[in-house]
Amino acid sequence: MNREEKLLEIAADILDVEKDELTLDSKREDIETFDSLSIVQIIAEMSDAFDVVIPDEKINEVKIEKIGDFLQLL
Amino acid sequence: MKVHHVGYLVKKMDPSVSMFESIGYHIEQETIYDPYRKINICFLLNGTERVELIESASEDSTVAGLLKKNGIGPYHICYEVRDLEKAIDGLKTKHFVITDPPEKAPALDNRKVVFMYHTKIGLIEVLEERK
Repeated sequence: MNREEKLLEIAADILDVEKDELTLDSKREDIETFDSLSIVQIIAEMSDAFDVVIPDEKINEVKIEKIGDFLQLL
Repeated sequence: MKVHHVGYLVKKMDPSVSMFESIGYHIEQETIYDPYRKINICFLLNGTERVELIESASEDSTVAGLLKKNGIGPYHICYEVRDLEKAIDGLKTKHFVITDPPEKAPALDNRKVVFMYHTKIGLIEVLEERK
């Protein structure tokens, strides 16, 4: 599984939507559960799944508007 | 890290304080408004067990979304540490992510606290020990 697929799997689980309904272009405004808390949860899950420490500066710098934006953190 | 308190999210402070008093807790510190987080906080003690009741004081408080999503109940455990920065660095290597950056906590003698989230255990608060 590549990192894009893994991200979609993580996001679908946390946002409580079907993986098939989610793409890297899925927008925050179109998903009711895509709130600030779920963003933290997705970042934490990515950090664990990809075994990386994501610096705070990067988290503050990247604006998460759609699912694909999370990839900028890696 | 030693446990300092368990944080409870409540909708209304007074009835929740009364409920805890009815099961053996007493007020350790009267309700304080935390302007950084826009919340009201009250600490209660039962022997050495301490709870922190947190009431949202604004629609854009740090807990408003959580209250809406999860409702009332315990939502974090606070650990006290000697060196906050060192603890943060150590937790980051274990894939904890900061949810609210280190900030003074008016309800805790303006000691610095930070909230961190881990995908396997949820939310924790880390509090620096009294100097």
